Amino acid sequence: MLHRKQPRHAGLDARRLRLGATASLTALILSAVALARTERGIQLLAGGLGFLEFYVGVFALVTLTATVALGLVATERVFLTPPNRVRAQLVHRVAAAAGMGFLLAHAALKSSSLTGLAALALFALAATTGMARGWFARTPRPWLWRVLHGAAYLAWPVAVLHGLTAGRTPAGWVAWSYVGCLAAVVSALLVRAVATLRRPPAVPEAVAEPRVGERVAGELVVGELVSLDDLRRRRAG
Amino acid sequence: MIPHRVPRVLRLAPARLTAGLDHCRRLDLPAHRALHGEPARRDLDALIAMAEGVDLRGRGGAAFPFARKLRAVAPGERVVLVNAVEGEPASAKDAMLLVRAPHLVLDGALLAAEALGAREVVVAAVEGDVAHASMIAAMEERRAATVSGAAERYGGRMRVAGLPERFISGEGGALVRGVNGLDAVPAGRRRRATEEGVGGLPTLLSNAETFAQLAVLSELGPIGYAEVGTPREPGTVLLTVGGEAVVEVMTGVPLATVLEECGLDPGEGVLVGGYHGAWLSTRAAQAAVVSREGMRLAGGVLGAGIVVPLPATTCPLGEVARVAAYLSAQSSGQCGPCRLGLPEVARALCALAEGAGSADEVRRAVRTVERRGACFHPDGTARFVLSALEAFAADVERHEERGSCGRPVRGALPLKEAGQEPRYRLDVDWTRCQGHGLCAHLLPEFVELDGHGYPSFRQVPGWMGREARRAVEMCPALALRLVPGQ
Repeated sequence: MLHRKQPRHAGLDARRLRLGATASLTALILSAVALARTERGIQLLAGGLGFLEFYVGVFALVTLTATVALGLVATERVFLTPPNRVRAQLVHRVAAAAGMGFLLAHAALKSSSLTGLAALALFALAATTGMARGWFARTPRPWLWRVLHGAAYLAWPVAVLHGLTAGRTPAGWVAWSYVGCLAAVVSALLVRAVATLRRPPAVPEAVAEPRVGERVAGELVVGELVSLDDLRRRRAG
Repeated sequence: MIPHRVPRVLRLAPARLTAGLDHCRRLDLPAHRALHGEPARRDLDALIAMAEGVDLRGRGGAAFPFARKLRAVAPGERVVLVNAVEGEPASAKDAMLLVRAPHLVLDGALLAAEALGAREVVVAAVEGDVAHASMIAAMEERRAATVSGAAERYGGRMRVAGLPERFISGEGGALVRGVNGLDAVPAGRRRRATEEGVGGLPTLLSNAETFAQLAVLSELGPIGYAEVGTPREPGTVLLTVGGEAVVEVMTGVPLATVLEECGLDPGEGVLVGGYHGAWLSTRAAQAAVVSREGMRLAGGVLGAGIVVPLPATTCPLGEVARVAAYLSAQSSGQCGPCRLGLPEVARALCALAEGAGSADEVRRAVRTVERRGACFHPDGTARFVLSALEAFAADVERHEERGSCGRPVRGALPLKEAGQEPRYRLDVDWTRCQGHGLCAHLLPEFVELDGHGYPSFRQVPGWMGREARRAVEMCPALALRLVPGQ
């Protein structure tokens, strides 16, 4: 039998985790403060902001692409074994969280465009439903979750379109990679839809039953028996 | 109300607290009035004089002089709090009083409330118990009597406070906190209820039996009250014998006579004073007399009047270890030495009972908890364990030398089910389940897959709740739900 874990030195109470988290946070805050104090540091910070402005959209698109692909792979039982599907789901969540973070930063730093806003709204819907999955499992309409979470399949192509058309022109290999991802996901989705539609209804297997009509009770042939009277008559003579 | 099952009542004294209970399951207001009459009004000085005259003490275990308590509270904005929360699994006397003679307890409480001019009387009982329901019904009867014109003099409010059943909820501080709507655990710094109790007001807090005794004292007068019992501790006491029978005994009666009356014999030893009390060896029990002094002389404590003889057919150390495990689980977990030390004591005792430990190890473990807590729980447990080592010395030796005394542990000491942690059940919508099998990977100890790949579930303990919730969230078919188990 499983034994209860001592909760006191687990999670954030674990010594190494606690020390590490405190040290890195301190380092982060101190370096930000130190940078803000010098002329050069402010320049560096501005450079960092510029870098973010330039690249955060790309990061968002890449992580969200990975998120969509991982989500699709995790639902299908043909690609991965159950343990790997669990792992894929966990990575899917981490990627989604990171992607949404990048996306929000990108939205905050850049001026708005129509396709960008549409993608943002749809991704937000997918993310919220993803977080509320346990709640949907309790309701009588789990398909509602599939429909709403499926908003991601709409959001992603819009986001790719936005990424390839808005702003600077992408390098050829970048555009082709995205097109490749789109093609792969679309075909996986198509195969999934067709497989679902073509799947025969799940019915119990037919079992061959013992044949009726063999000889029972002497000469009596059960298959021919019509009524109780019939039986008496036959027995009598 | 007429309760379905009531605690058995026996008597080795003239009928006082248990008067009328031979023929009646519960005394309602008319029956109570017919037996005890209308209580006379007493002012505070008269009440104090009477309590002093017979040296009335608190009956919850601490035996604090009631007159001193009355004096400390002094009239004014006051509350009277009746403690009928018996955390002790082996105690039944307060529950018996509330179930069978609730109006006697109320009479005593109202008598004190009138004398103090208190604005509220609160009776604390275990939430959901029959005693709780009976006291609510008794207050309803009183209100109905007031409406129909019968004289109910007390003008203040009366209410019943339901508290969770735990070993430590009966402790004074925990009780006041519970009644005030806080968590019913002992306070870190002790505050006297007489200074700051219910709602921050000075509170007269005493045990249910004490108030019943007060009502009887007022009815009989000090001279009549002192007609039975020893001169130093006159009157009767309620004992709970063997965890179920409640016996009204006059002080001075030999303990052996009480056991005989209940059809029991001292066996291997007798526990007096409950699970914070002490064990008497058979020899000491034979000589002991029921009274605070008599118990002290025998090496025990009267406490809340709990007497449990241990049958000779069971392994005493095993029984003690069972109780120690229960007591350690009942720690509220507020104080480190208690939370970590009591399980250690229980483990050492279990090892000793199984023949793998030694009495010295138990003593060492006990030493780390003694006098190191906000309440009496660690000290009481220490007393219980140390006295057991002494009373069952021969048995301890046998366990240390041969590993066992050759007797099984029969569970002779009454224990309440330790407060069960919530358990969960994974509820599956079979029409949705596709046999993906992720749940079996996430909760391998609680989910098993059949030959077709479909899961069957075992109950999930509360501390695995997070993992169970993850399984629900990760189910690809959204077929799982988490529902509270039994």
